[in-house]
Amino acid sequence: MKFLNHLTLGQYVPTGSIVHRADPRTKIVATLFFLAGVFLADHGMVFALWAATLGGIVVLARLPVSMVLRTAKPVLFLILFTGLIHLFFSQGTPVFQWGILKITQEGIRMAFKMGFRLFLLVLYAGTLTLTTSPTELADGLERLFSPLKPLGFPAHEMAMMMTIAIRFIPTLLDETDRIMKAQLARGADLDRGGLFRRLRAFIPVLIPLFVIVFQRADDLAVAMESRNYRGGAGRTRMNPLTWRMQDSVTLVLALAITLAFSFLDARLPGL
Amino acid sequence: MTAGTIVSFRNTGYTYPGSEKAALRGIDLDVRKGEWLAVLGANGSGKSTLARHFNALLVPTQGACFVGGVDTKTEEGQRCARTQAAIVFQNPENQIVAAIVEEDVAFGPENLGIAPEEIRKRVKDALEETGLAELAEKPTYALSGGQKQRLAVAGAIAMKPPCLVLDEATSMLDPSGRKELQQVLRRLHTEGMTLVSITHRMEEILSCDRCVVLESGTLVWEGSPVDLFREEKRLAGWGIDVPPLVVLWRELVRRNLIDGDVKPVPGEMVSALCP
Amino acid sequence: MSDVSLQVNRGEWISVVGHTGSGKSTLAQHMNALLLPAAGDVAIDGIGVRENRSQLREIRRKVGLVFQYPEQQIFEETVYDEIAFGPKNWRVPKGEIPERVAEAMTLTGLAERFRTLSPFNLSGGEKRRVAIASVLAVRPDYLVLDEPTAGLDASGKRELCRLLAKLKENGTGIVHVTHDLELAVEVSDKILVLTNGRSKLWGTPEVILEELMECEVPGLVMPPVPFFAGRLRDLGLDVPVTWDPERLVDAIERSVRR
Repeated sequence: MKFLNHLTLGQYVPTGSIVHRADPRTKIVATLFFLAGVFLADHGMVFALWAATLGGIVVLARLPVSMVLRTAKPVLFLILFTGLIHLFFSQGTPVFQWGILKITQEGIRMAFKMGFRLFLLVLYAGTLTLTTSPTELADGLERLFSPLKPLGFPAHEMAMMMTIAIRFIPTLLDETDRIMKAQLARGADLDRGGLFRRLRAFIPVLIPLFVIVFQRADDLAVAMESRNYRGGAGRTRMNPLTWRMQDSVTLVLALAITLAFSFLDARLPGL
Repeated sequence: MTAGTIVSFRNTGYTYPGSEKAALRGIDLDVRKGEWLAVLGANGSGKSTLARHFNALLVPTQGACFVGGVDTKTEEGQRCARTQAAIVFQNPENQIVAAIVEEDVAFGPENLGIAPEEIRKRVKDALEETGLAELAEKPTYALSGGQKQRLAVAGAIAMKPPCLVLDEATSMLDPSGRKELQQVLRRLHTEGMTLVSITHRMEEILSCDRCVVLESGTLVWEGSPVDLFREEKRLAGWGIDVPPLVVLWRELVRRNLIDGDVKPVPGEMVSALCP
Repeated sequence: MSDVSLQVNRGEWISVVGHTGSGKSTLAQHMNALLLPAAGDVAIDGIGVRENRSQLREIRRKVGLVFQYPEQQIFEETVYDEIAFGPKNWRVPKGEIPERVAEAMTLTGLAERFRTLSPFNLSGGEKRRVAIASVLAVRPDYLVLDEPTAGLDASGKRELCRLLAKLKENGTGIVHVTHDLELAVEVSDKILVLTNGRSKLWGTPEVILEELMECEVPGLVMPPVPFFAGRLRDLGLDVPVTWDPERLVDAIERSVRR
């Protein structure tokens, strides 16, 4: 449980807002639009617009800002690392020099831009998982991919695997923690040594986990069969996805925003 | 098979593929509608194997098993059995499919192709029945062991099976979890559900109407719970825990301080000693 | 967990009893420095965990910790290797290891032939014995066990208690974390009852039972035999509130015949 106190893990937080009630397909596709938009953005002002849009969504979703920000925690290191790379390794007009380390004007700009971009990407994705339950996400993806079913694409199976995998993440984290502690109590040294040594030291943690996971797969399959699971054919949903006018409007809006911001970005004076 | 029987075993035998020894042999057993049956026996006696015949997870390799009147060796029989009997297994964690409580309860009905409105109603009723109504939107990983098993029961009764089988469902729970689950089961029983409990715990055996004992795959004893606890010498061999209270009860009976009909339950014993 | 005080001596059997979430597993993990206290201190044989960070490994050698369902930690190919894992980690001289393994196997009732078998092919009860043996092979001065009887039937429980009693006799300090109060009163020298992370009761089994008769502790089920005795006493019979069936029957007989 210790792990879970530090990470939001993009866990679903039901607030019953208008965003939560939207069809997951709308949210998934809209998020993809936004992610693409953020990815392509280049100018500070456009980034600000994207940040403002995200802020608007967060307000509409009635999510606490701290919670949204926390979804970036796992990638904080990556963001900083990216920033630092750009800071020290960009060509351009030097602003500061210390030995071989050189910080350029361009470097500073790039560091902020790249770092912020990554930050926004993660927050947009995090907002999606905060406002959409794992089952809704799986359902949404399944429906989005279902046109491919006749071609043999296992849309339902994929969705079911996603649901089960997400459901077991916290459980597996707990179990990993427990096994690590049990092996530490037997004197295992999990903190020291180089990469190779540490990997070997983790064998007493990995093997028991594998055993647990395989047993679990067995038990779960039997339980699912007992509950009349026969694959996707003939399955209904407690909360079936129904496309409403609002969803079409939202999707069009999302596309419009993305196109607008991207145009603006292309039109602004070059760097 | 009579009208009041829900599951019927006729000379049923089962051998696991690749095994030489039969896990079940010559089982003749009728489970009556509305009864609470306890199935007992040591580890390896075939209890779980028997349990899996109730919903046709396993199908007899010898003899026959009838659930709801249909032979489970037929395809129709298997489909019928899955809707007539639901099983709650031992490990609370490995039965839960969904991340949210109410979504997990809905899993069974969704598989049966039931209409959304009906599913919502069944989920609501099942959660009420198991005392989990307030936790409907909570994540499943955060539930206690007892709550998880109650969730498994909710998921089972949402499919509206007339018979519920519990395969050592309490063995991984703490005392309060066990108590919670037993309360739910007792209520289901008074509402007419047929229950089959595989257990070795005395308190659970005493809630049942009838007990049968398996030994090396065959049925060796049948009777009431109180009769069972009089079988002093054989209980340990059958894997049944004889708790200190039963030891006390036996001694009180032996010394004629209480009558042999009094159940080994504190309330009844107190009344018998201090009328 | 907050404001918990406890003392365990060599050769003593202490039980820590409480409902799920009462903090007992957290407490157990403080005893071998897997968790460090945020306030106060934990000292093993005088070595405080707060000031002696560098000696934490040494502390873990002195205090063996057996987790719930310990068979889940098994990973080696043979029973021998599994039991030797602990001693190897603590740099026990190579020559001594076979002796340690044999000793641990004898203590846990594992026959010689198990040495070369794969632990994964053993029964549940045998696996548990291997797991416990792997902790005993380190020869800890104190042994902390979290729900060691979970999932065991009556005979398995008795065997485990016999093992722990033998270890206690040999001078090992036993800390037994459980929610089974009925078992705890039977075997412990002293019992600590935890509720919601705080210590609620501390004393000998007799004292604990008397206290429980006065006021209920949430999440704790009063063991049937003492409960029964208590009710008889409330109704006027002169009987002790005890867990021992024989003692109780004698007292009831005397009281009733009078």
